[in-house]
Amino acid sequence: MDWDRRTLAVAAFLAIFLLWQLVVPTAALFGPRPQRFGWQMYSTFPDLPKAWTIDAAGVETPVDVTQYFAQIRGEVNFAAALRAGLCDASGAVAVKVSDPRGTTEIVTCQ
Amino acid sequence: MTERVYRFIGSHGPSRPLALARIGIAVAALMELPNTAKVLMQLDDPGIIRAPFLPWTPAVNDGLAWVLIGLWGAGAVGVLLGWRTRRVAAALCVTLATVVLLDQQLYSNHLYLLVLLSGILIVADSGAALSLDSRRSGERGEVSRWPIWLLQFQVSAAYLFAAFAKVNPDFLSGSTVASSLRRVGPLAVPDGWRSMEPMLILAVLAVCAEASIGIALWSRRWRSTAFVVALGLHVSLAAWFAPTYPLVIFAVVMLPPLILFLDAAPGRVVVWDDGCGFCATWVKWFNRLDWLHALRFVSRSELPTSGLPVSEDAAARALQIVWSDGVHGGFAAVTRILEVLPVSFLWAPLLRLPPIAWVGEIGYRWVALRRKCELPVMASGPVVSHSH
Repeated sequence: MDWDRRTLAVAAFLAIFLLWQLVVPTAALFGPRPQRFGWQMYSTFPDLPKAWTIDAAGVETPVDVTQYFAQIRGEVNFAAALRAGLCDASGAVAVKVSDPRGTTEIVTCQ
Repeated sequence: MTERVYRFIGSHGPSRPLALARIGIAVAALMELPNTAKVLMQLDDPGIIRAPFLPWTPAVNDGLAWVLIGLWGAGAVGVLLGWRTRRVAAALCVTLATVVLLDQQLYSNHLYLLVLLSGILIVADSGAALSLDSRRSGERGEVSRWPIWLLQFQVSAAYLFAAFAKVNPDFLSGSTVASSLRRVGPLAVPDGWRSMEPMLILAVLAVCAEASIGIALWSRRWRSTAFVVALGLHVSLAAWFAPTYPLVIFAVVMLPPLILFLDAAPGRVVVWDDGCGFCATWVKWFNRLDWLHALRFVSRSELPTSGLPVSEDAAARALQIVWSDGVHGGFAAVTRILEVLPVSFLWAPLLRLPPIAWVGEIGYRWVALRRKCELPVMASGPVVSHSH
């Protein structure tokens, strides 16, 4: 039995690949679903966050979140994306984002 | 253990199933391209919010999108044709991985699966057969076994984890299934049918189907059942769930690699009546479609010298197949032939089930009694026997 460099490299590759394919999807089972890289297709129906734009007078206007995204998928962290990008996309003075777990945050636009 | 790993790494498997899996992966990549290209182009729109994985990920603009689309298309065509297969598989894998990591909105499970499968094609010798590479340097019958096993493992793991992930109250209540069922078109499911009990049953069936596929693929006894269940699952998903196109692509990603589980080792001998033009036509087609070279064809006139346990009388009455589990004739022989052809292995096991098998046998006898046998076809020698 001669463990040459090629055989060792193959064994290492196999071990890393198997570890990745077992550990990542297993870990994903312990988080909220669906998670990326976990083969969690159709495991739950995605809940979208709610968002509002706020003008200079402080008036809140609800926005259709779906119009601001190219694709609606359960794995996307839409709340974080809205907090980071809704100001630029909407031109509002401030935005309010309420994630599906009920946490609401107001972001003042610069 | 160490010795087993060593021997496994040094072992070999057939090249043709791997080549067919490669072609399937390339077709799936080409089918997914317009789907992802649409999202890539939309990400250049200032009204669309970016959702990068990492803050430093470059923004997608038209130029970057077109470069990625070009590399993706060229890579997939290269893999499909098997031209410098490992290098183009590497280019395709890197391109797909870049797309997946550019923005969260570009992620899909089948795109991620394509990244992994094309990644395995870099280390697999998938261009050893049915490729431009093999036309140039000659086809090799065997390649390293471990990348084939990795592809098998990957597909099996995807089914198993998909089943595990669905074991949650949300899915098992049937609400996800009810929301995902098609609402428009001829296969639309009426709202009245989306009540709790049928949806709950469908949800449990989906979990059982995915889990059983993931496990049964590794069992010689249950593998053919897994093929049928997998085909049924993907056809049902594409037919009754929305959106259709991504589900069709998902089927195209998942089903071709199943051929790697097919036991198509040479050894099956088909005995056919070379005194009959009708039989010769059928056998000619079986031979053409035997891309895995699993069948050897022996004509009735060659029987006396073949040493096969089939009488000339039996061969004159019906097609015969000789294999390790015995001799089968008529419709049973046709079924066993179809079970090793790449175009039919997923559904052919259904033909063994009663009453399909009974009706098939009656139909076979009916046709056999009325067949027209024209000897000149035999003289032209339509069937070339494979030698292994």
